[in-house]
Amino acid sequence: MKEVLRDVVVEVDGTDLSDHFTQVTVEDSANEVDSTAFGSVYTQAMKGMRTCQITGTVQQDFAAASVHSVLNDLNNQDTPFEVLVTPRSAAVSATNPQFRLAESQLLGYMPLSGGVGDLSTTDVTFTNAGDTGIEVLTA
Amino acid sequence: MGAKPKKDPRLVAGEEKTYTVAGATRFQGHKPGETFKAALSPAQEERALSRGSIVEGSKKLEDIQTKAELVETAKSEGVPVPEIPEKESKAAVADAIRNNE
Repeated sequence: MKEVLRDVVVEVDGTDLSDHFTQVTVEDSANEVDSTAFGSVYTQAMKGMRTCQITGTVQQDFAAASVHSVLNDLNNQDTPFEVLVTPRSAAVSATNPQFRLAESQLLGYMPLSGGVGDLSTTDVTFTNAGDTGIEVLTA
Repeated sequence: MGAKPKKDPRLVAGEEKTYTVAGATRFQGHKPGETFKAALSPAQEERALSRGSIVEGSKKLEDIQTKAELVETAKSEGVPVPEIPEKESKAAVADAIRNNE
């Protein structure tokens, strides 16, 4: 069934920031390594090292235990943390898989950016700090 | 070809404890004020406690949050907040919110 994103759940280090996120992307890709040799007519490529990240846009909130509190805290420390993204708030299942970046890190954070009259939002990128990459949980 | 790196001990789940969600945002799917049991890793527990997302043990939300925070939490959870006079006590504010849930 086709999916319209209305009810995506984004949990950062345990804190549910879904009602502040307006955009989220879960990405898992591999480097392209050129393996073309003499005698080839076409260039050939192999899959290289994998990389994964979760990016998003979040509406700023300076309330206690909300957006700024969570992101600033995570940006100022070195221990990896968990980020979870689920298409819908319903129970996790094969048709509502949860994407888990178990060991992620925040390599930068902009607490304030925008012009007069703008809603204060910030773009965040959670990069992979571990060896498991993005896991897809179905239960 | 080396051995798989060991998981950082700060990320390994600790012992199961009881916590109450203290902030205005949900924590691990639990609503503000809800008490839950979890085995958090030491690093996550330390961060969540220091930022005020959770507190240890079973507590009432009105014992943790200020009057303004109670109103903010109710709004973030979609609970209609009635007009509450400034001079009302925190307990009265908590009652008014509870009656609207």
